[in-house]
Amino acid sequence: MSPEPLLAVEDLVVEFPAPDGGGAVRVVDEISLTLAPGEALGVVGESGSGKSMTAFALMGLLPAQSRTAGSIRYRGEELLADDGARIAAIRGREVAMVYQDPMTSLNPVLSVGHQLTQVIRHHRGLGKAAARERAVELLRAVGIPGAAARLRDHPHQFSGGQRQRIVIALALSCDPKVLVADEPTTALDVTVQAEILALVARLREQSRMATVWITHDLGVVGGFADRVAVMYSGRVVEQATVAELFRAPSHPYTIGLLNSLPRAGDRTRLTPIPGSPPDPAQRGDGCAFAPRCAWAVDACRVHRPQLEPVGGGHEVACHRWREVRGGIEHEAVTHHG
Amino acid sequence: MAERDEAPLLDVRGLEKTFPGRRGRRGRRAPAVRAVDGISFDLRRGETLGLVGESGSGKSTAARAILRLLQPTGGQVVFDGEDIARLGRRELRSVRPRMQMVFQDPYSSLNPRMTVGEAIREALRVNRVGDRGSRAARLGELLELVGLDAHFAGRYPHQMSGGQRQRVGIARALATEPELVFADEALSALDVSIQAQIANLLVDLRDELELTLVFISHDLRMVRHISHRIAVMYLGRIVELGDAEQVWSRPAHPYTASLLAAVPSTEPEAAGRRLEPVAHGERPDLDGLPDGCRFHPRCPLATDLCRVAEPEIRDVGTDGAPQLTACHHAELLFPAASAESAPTGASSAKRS
Repeated sequence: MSPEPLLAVEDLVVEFPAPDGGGAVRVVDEISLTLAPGEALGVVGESGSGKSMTAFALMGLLPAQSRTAGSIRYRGEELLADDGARIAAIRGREVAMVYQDPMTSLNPVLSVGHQLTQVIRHHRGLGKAAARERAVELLRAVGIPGAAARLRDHPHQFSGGQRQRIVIALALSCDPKVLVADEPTTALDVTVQAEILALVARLREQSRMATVWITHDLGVVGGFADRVAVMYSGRVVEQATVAELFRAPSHPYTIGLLNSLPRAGDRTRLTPIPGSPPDPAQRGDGCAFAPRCAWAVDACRVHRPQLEPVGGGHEVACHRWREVRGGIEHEAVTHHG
Repeated sequence: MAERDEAPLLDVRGLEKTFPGRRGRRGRRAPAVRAVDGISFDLRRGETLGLVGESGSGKSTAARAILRLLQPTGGQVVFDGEDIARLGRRELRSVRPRMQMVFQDPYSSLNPRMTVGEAIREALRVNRVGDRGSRAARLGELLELVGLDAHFAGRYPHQMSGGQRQRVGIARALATEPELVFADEALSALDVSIQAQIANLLVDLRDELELTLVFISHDLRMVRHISHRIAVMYLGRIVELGDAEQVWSRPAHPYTASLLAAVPSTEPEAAGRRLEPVAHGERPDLDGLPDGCRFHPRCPLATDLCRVAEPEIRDVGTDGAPQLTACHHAELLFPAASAESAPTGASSAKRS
């Protein structure tokens, strides 16, 4: 499934100057991702994995002191090398972003209607009345009851779930081709999270909007994404379709993440990943996961594994993926037998 | 854990916590907010109760009222045979060390200018545990108990990872050798791989120290994993209470069913299955509660009865395991026959 990608990230690197002045800290380390029209990509990682920085890079929102390399192409057009004017035009209209905290995107002292109509008028050049009409339409689409009457309300007059929906309405106001969502449901209750996931899935079907959904919860991408990229310490360590990833996780980190979650009907001790993720400034030459990995051998500590295809569009960055997969299958057999 | 017929360690009866309404314009007061509206449950020694519900359901307020961090406005909190709901500050002093709380974000519950050693010694000193010498020894014991090296005593909160800070939060809660521990979203701020470490630690400590634990969380997967029984709260009330596996596999309240339907899964068969909310719409505000059952505006099973009559708590359990529900129509949630492969409540209530 690879028609012309809508968005293609190639060997993206994001670095920051080290706090002590010496050298650079690499927070995104040569990652490559593609997104086809209408596709939903889940990006899963824990704090420090580089997933949010990747999103910021997509949106051209990296802090000024950062340094980037590689390429981000939107419909073949390079965004990374640009001076900003072109990105600004694409951003908002073509690629929109939703953040974890809705108040990052909402101005607390302006009414919701004002904020929506401003964006709509700016990007689409509509008149006041038409923009207002469109704003009501959008609020209705994201499930805000009594939309027309609520345009005058300010963000604090809405619940957390409603605020996140308003931000989604804001992001959708210009019919973006790509929606980048960074943990938009993490702070919300599970029922509200399910509503928002269902809402975005519906919008995706209606408009063929592609989605990058960034989360720390593998379960969230399960019912939502077509493909998943698992990130660890600045790199993509595994990439596959959701079904394939759940069926045959092949990177020890992905397996560790899955094992960390309580399973239905199993009340024995959880199997956590020992230790904690490395400080990006202290990463060695080898695989960043090696210090926490039960499979690690000497080679892992010296050579950084690259993503390699393991069949079925599934890619893994692990020197020992064959043994890892064999071990899992062996375990499964002995469990059943 | 042997089932003994003994008095519960904690017996909460009709607990209420009402906050006065905010003063509005022209001196008018908004109606009082009934954050906890008459909840009852008991806990045996060594038992773990999972407390779940959306934000605003009153679960944290209930915890704080039980621990007397807030003054209850009604009901009884019988702790080891004594009602502590109305005890004064001085009388509480002997009870406080016996019940402790682990908070969500250890970063905000630890003083950034105190080392770990100072924070734990303070907890000991405030609760009048031991003298200077024995406190130092106890500090070492506590750090070891939560799996931290002795040198962590000299660290400041910002020099530790989230998981390490939560270990300190647990060590501090255990400093006074409590019998009852409330963990309020104690795993929520941690990364997934670290959550499992801390969850294991909590379970080990519970078993080793014979703690009675109330595990408050919005993560139902973890609640089920850790708890013996689960209580589900909605808008200040307990709407369902029963054995953890029972509640999970055969929910007796449509709200529980809707929570379970929204739980993300990583089972292979979950790929591509969309999470569909069962209960639609926003929960009403606490100061504008609907008549009848407070869940009826969002409930797929609601009838006229539900709109006028608030359901009483009743037992719909099987095989001698009580399962309490506050729903007129709980039976509609159960599979008709005694189906062998009982469908999960999530899917049985899915059609709405």
